[in-house]
Amino acid sequence: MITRREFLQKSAMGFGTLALSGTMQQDLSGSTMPLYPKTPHFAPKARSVIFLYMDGGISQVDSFDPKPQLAKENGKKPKFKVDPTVFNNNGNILKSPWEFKHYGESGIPISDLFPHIASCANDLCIIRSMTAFSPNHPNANYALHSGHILSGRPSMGAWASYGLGTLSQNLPSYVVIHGGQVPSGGMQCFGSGFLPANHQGSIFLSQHPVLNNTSFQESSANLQKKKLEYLGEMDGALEARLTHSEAIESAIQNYELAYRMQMEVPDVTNISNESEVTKKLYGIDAPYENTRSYAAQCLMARRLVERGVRFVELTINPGNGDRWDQHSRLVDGHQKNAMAVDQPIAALIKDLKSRGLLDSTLLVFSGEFGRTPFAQGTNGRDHNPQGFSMWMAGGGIKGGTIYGATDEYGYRVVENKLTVHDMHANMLHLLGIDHTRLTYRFSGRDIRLTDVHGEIVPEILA
Amino acid sequence: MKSIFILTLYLSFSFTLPAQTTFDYDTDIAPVLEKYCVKCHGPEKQKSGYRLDSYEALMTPGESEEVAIDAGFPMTSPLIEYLLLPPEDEYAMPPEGEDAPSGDEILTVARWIHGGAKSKSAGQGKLSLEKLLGENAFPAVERLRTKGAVIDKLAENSSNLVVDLQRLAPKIDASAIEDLKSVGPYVHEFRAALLPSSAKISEWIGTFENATRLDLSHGKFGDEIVASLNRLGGIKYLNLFGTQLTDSGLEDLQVPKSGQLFLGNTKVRNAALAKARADKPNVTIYGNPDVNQTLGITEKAWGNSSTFNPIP
Repeated sequence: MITRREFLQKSAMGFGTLALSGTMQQDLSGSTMPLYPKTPHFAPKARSVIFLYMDGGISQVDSFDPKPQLAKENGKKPKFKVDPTVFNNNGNILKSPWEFKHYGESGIPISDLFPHIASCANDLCIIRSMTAFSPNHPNANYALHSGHILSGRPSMGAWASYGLGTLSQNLPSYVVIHGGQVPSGGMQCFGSGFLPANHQGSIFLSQHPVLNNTSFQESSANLQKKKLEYLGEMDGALEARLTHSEAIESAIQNYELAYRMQMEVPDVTNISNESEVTKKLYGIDAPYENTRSYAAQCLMARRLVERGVRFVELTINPGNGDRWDQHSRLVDGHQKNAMAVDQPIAALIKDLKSRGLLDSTLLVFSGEFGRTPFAQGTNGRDHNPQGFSMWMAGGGIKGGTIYGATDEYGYRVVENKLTVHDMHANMLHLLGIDHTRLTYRFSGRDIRLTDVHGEIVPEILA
Repeated sequence: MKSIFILTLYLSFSFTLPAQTTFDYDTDIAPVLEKYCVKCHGPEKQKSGYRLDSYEALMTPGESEEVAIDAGFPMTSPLIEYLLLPPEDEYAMPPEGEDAPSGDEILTVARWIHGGAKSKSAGQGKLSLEKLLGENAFPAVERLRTKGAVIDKLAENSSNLVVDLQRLAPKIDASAIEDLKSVGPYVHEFRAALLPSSAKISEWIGTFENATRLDLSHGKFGDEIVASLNRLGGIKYLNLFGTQLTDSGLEDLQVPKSGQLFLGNTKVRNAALAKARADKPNVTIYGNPDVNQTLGITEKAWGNSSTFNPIP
């Protein structure tokens, strides 16, 4: 395969001509493009991933892992050994303020926080045995995204992009639809680390315009064309003087993708043409503003996946009291956070299903860790990395199942412990990638998203 | 379906007809295994950890960590050993009372093992797209790619193709359709959302004779394509979301015989949808999401003091 640079040399024309023939008229064989789809290692179950990132650490015992024992011992001192926590202001056992009901054919228990998601119980595979590598937000966030507790490693979305490219050449392969809540640890959670920069998460806002630089600045299309041609000439001249320059090649690629995005992004993110029924389904007209905002994000996610974007991640909205990080006032904060995401996520599942996209789209719902079954102060919960719940649905996942278990208090994993490496390995597996073969040489070593770990879990796969 | 495809390939790529003495997994062995073995050693049951429903599976050890085939040596291949045991032996396969292969069939398997236990398609999977498709179909792929279609092998070692027309679909022209026809027989999955009525897909969709997944959603066509679709018996996923299919079109639609069928945003009415669901128990039929269910859940949640109440 020839590189983009060789192509430029061989075709003996500057960027301008290439932009005209390649990007405007779609007259370029895509195989020279850096994000052109690559052949999977084996037949994929999922084509795209939507990662529903529950920033802050949602409480497992209040959502997907009911523990009746907590009600029995409510207000009593924990009988089990309590490890130090972040604030170490550990109180007595705190029962869940929410009731659990059984849903779906297999009677999966889900709390009253998620009545909409509960209506999709047949599609969910709830994993009750996740663990985190750190009890601190930034490190747990880095680990959740990159498999490593320190910053600077490529995010899972960047790895998926590096491994598979993307189907739509007019959109980035990894898009973060940003609700506004910047994760602890910063936006570098979505970075590409040492992978080429075109794999990093592109940040779209949840409201139109999603990017502030996609509108045309020039008075006419012709003027823009001329500018790009001139830019291309200059880049070409510079490239002729240098024997090889990754930076120039990246710059040329970025100009080209940016140009194509000017065409595509305003359209793909414009949800106003969706039917009224669809908008109602997602909650675009909901009374709570954060439901409306997250609904727009979910609807946008569907539209991106429809066009073949490989990896879409959603961050949550600020203004729910706090992220899912209720060190105090658990009821108020978890209720607001749940109300914001519940209906939109359920709508996303139902909409994808109706359009024939759910079986090729993997949905993953997870925070960076869980929360303690005992109180912090009187009415909050501290961080708990030793056992928490997440769920997956869609492409290649066995719906209506529960995997793993915590102890009778929901504190520590006692059965089928999983780590983020396992989660990443299974995500890549469903995309058709053998995680042990997806490597990038950096600092003298072939580095993997899953380091030297990661197990495929047949029980969660359809 | 696949075996027909392989056979066609074989005939078109070889200068002479296959001699009686060579046997291939797909054409000669898979049907025998399918008939007598796969019920207990396949996707549903994997007795003793063995699956015999694909070439790769056949070459993979089961619980005993023994591969069923010793290529080149029929008499040390466990598969032949079990097939030849007297029926009353507790290890005899198939077990006593079940249909057993004839002597000729066992001999075919033995001669295939003796010849090296080869599979042309397993080998083909390793070929590049260019080698796999040859000089007729590959240039068609290149032309389609130039126009914006995404075309690739399903996986590294697969001889199946995935074609995603992406932005080419709405503006497809006669020359692109000619190219699609020559690629058609190799395609496992065809994604072509937003096809215009001018594409006249009923005239060429029949070339996708080996396809298992067909996404024709949002296309500007209706019942006129049903007759052509009915000829694609191997379809397991048929997406007609947003097309103009009507009740009578659905009445005539015979595919998929099993699998998934998507009929949201079509002209099919709820009563016809319900009838189709009753008539086709092997097909999961999807309509539009039930927005009233959603509204009901919200309403109920607002009445539940432990859920969304009060609205912040």
